[in-house]
This record gives sequence, structure tokens and C-alpha cells, in this order.
Amino acid sequence: MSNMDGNADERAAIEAAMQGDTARFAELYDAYVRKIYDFIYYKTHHKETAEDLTSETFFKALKNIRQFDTDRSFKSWLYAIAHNAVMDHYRSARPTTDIDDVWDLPGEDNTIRDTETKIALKEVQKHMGKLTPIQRDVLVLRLWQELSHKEIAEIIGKSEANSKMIYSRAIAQLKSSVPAGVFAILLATLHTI
Amino acid sequence: MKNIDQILQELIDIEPSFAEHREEMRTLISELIAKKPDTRLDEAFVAGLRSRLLGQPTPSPFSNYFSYTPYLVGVLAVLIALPLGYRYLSTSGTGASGTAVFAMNQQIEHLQGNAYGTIQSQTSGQPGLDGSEVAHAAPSIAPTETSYAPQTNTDARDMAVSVASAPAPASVPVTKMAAGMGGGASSRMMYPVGPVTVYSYVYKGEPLDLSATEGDVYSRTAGQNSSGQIATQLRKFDFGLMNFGTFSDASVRTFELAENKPFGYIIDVSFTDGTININADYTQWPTLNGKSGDMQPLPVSAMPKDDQLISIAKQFLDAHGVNLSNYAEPVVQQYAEAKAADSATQYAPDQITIVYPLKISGEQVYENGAYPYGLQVGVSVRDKKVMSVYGLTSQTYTSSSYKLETDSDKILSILKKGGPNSWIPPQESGVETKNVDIEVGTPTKVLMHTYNYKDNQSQELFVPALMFPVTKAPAEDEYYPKNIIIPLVPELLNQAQTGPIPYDAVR
Repeated sequence: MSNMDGNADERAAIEAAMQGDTARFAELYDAYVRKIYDFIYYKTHHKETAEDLTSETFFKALKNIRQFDTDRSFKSWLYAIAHNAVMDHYRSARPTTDIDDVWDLPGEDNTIRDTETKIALKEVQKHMGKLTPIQRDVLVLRLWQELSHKEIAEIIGKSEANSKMIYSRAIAQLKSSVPAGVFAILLATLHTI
Repeated sequence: MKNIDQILQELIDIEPSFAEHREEMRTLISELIAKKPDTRLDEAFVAGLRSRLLGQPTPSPFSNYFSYTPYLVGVLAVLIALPLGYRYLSTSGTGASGTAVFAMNQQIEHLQGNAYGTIQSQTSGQPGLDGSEVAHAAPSIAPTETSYAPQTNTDARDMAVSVASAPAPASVPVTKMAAGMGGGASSRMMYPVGPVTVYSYVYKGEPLDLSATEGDVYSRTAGQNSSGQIATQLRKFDFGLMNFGTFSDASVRTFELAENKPFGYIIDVSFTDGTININADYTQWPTLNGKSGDMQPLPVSAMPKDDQLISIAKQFLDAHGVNLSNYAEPVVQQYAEAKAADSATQYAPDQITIVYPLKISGEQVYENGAYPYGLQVGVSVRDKKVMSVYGLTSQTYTSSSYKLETDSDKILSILKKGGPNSWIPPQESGVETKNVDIEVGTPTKVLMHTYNYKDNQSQELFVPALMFPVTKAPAEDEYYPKNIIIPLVPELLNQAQTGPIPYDAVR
């Protein structure tokens, strides 16, 4: 897998794909499919749904590649498509509720999730659900996808400083919402590992 | 932990006050990172999607993995068939070299007058010479040209509608029982033994405008029996068990596509009928296959509001590219359960239907019971998802001029008894009746959906009609129809309703 992010190879692949060269589009796919799949999985907690929406994201990207604004970040564009695909997925299922991703649903909701993930995130779900969708995205992109704030800023369409601010406020909010007892237990657990 | 230290320091750089809670912060960050889910990315999925994006065929799995064949055939069929099928359906009806759009750009080819022969209503009985009746359910046993309605859910609804507009609705239990005799059975039923409410429709509108002596009757042109282009493409594939290329003049008439995912759908495409129907795949819907834990009946309070139901339907249709330009504003079918919202003993239906009324040449289409005819979208009350879509049809039609009724007195006389298919017990029947007057207002010109049976085939027709709105009805009376529809084609007006078989005659 090549890292094409922002470099000349990526730009050349984008331009070729815009001219109808699907083989060069495949290079872009190779560079981003795992990140995009993970991003979607973090928002759906369900493997098959993540696969469907990842497929949808790349087919949409391929279909619309000619409309891509080359002054923009390709990564940001792809993530935006993925984000919208997830949002559409939940909102088409529940049009009367404002749902961005699986974090907006209560843990006991009967939406299909992978059991292992559901159990692992049972506690986290409660607290993440209290954050705004963009706070969750920034948190996930930074902590789970290990992207830099520069990259996150590109994806969320805000400045790097804004990204950092959103991130710190999300952490502060989580810190205040997680009971002290949980910390004590976690500390003890971590020390025994 | 180096990464955590970096993250922690970054946070402290952003917000220095975090330094006072360093350990607490470290634990929180550690917990969040530790909880990072295993996304279980399947490399086969990555490779498969890549291959699909490239448009390159995957190494043929058919011969070695025959168990995948049905799924792959479905995918291949739809990938190939949809664009070709759209083009096929859009052009096959008229023979015109139309654009490649299925069912969306309405195309109407005008034929010579009376092209569909004599038109007869599906609900009219055809008395035989000996006074017995020729059943009109089965074309194979109907010796003469008579009407025929296919055995579909629409048929069942039509029967219900006929009863609703017939003399005795819910207040007369015996008539309700007679409603159960539908499904293509004779429209002549046993005389009810109890009192029958006879509605008399009193016209209170403007003088009727019946100046048009002729009007267009429309016939939907269904698909043909084949789609040779698709078959040609399919024959190129090696299906493992046999070589499809050995068959000649093969065509595709139907295919089914199933979504292999939670809350997936089964999509049935019929080139023969020019229809696409969608149904929830019960194996993928926990609330339909018994795998959902909570399957208690839903209280009436769980019923979504009409605008919510319409929103669900609209989003689904939009998401799947259904063009609604040939349909009027959607209406939600009303159910008895919905009316009984204050009753603690009532449950909400599992599915509610939203109808997008079809328009042909700008005129709205109604069933002969004055219910809107068109695209039916069933919404699951439990899942708040679309469960079914019926009536998505190719929009190619032919039209033919027919003489229209111009005698106001005749129209109003038929209106008075509730339409050409209504029946009032004759005095000699001895049936006890109760008379109720209903006021109706100025009609609008619409099209009425009906079936005509000719040459051993049923033909779907849309005939000019007047729809009279009910403007005043007794509040205390259970009264179902909101409109009365009267076709303007004389043949449909002249069919006498013979009514139920006298009770004595069947004892």
C-alpha cells in the first residue's frame, strides 16, 4: 500500500482518474480503503454495514471523480462522502430522528451491531453519545485513526486550531462525564497489566 | 505508552489546565485507545471491491464455487439488465426509438378509435341466458368477452372497495360477510337477511359539463416476453453446470435480486409485465423472521404521523432513484386502527400504505371505488422502514378515442344509487332497507382504472370518469366512501347489476 497523501503521485493519480483511468483510481482506493472502512466501522459498529457503505463511498467517488475540485484535499473529499453515506444510512432508516452515526443511538437500541464491539463499547457509548458528532469524529480520527490535526482539519473542513479546540473540549467533556470511580477501576486495571 | 504521552502532552499544550489532572487524563486517553474496536477488515472484501471498481471480472468462481452462483447471477443480471432493461422497457411498448428511461418518461401512442373493443367493468356480472351468471374470475372459463381482474392484492382491494360503496357498509354484518366472498368470485351474492342501509346520493353541485362527446381511453403497454439483449449477455457467462450459450432465441422474462444484508430487500423485475416490485426479505428483517425479541403488538399510539410516513416513503424512493413526476401528492391509506386511536384495546397495523396517485396525461387515476390508484409504498410501523413497493410500472401507453356519455340525467340517475356497480335490493326481494341521503358536489374529471378481458387476455385500461366528492353525510352513520366515481364510457354505465342471489334460490 502506498502513501499517496498529498504528494505528487496522488495528484497524478487523481488527474488520471478524472480522465477515466480507473486503474489509477485503484491506486487511490488502495491508499484509502482501510482508513475509510475503519472510519465507517467506528460510526456503525457493524462489519457488513461498514462494507456496504465503504463500497458506496468508493463507487460514489469514482462516479463523481470528474467533479472533484483539485484545489481541495482528496482525503477530505473521500471522508466527506463516507460521513454522508453513514448519515444517509441512519437517517433513511429513521428519518424522523436526527442521527449522524451509531453513537447517537442508545446502547440498548436494537440496531444491529457486532456483538463484540457492542460489549466492548458499552461504557464508552454512554459518554460518546453526549458529544456532538463533530467532536466524536475528531476524537475518533485523532485517537483511533491517529491522524494529525492538520489532516483532521482537512477532513472536517476547519482550521487546525479549530480541530485542536474541538478535540480538547471533547476530552474535557468526557472527563467530566466519566465518574471518578471508573477512573479508579481503570487505573487499578492498567497497573495490573 | 509513548503515544499516550504524546497525546497527553498535545492536550496539555492545547489546554494547560489538563496538566492538573495528568493521571486522570492519562487513564481516560488509555481507556479510549484501549476501546478502539477491532474493525475486522476483510481483505477479501477489499480485493473484491477493488475488482468491482476496476470493472475487471473476478477470476471465474462459478465452476469451483457453485454455491455462490445464485447470488452472482443476481448481481450480474441486475448489473447487465438494469440499463438494458430500462432501455428495453422504454422503447418496447411504442416501438419508438425513445430514450433509455424505464417507466419515467410517459409515452403515449394514439391508436384508432375503439381500439380496445367493447369495454366492460370487472365488477359487473354477466347474466347468462338462463339467468345464471358467468363467473368472471377465470378467463379460461369465460366463453364470451367479459371483464377480468388479475388475482393480485389490488384485486382484493377492489373487492373491498366495491362493498364499501355498495348499499350496506359496516353497520350491516351480513353484508360484511358477503365481502369475504371476494377474490374473483361472483359479484352476485346471497341476499342479506338483515336490514340494509340504502344510500341515496343527492347531487348538489353545478350543472354537469358533459360537452365532450369523445374522450381518450388509455391502455398501459406492458413489457414483452423477452429481453434478448440481456439473455445474450448472460449466455456469455460460464455458469459451471451447463453452457447457456447452447440455447438459442433465449430471452429474460423476469429476474430477482436479493440484498444480502440486514433489512435487505428482494427486488422482482418483470419484463413481461413491465413492473418492478420490492419486498422486505423476511430472512433479513428481525421483526419479520421472529428473531427480534420485542414482538408485542404495537399500541395505536406507536403509529407515526402521516407526514412521518410520507417522509419515510419519499426518502426511500429518492434514495433508489424513483422519479415521482408522474404521480400526484402522496396519501396515506386510512385504517380502522388509526381511527380508533382512543381505544386502549386497538393495536396499530404492522404496515401502512402510502399511495402516490398515478397521473396519465395530467389526469389523476382512481380505482373504481374512488380510491387513488398508483404507486403503493408499504411502511413498517415497527421498523419505520419501507417494507414494500408495488405498482412501479413502465409508463408506456396507448390511447384510443371512445364515445362518452353526454346525458346528465343518466349520469345523475346512476350517481343516485352510488355508481354503476351499486345494487339496491328490489322491492320484491323483501329485504328490509333503511334509506340515508348523502349529498355530493361538483365532480372533477379523472381516469378510472379497470380491466377489460379480451382475446383471453386481461387488459389494463384507464377510462374517463367523473369523481363526485361527498359533501354531507349523516354524522351518526358509518359511511366509508369519500367520493363516488362514475365512468363516462357508455358500455360501463349500461351493465346492469344483478345483485345478490336471492337467499331462497340457494337453499
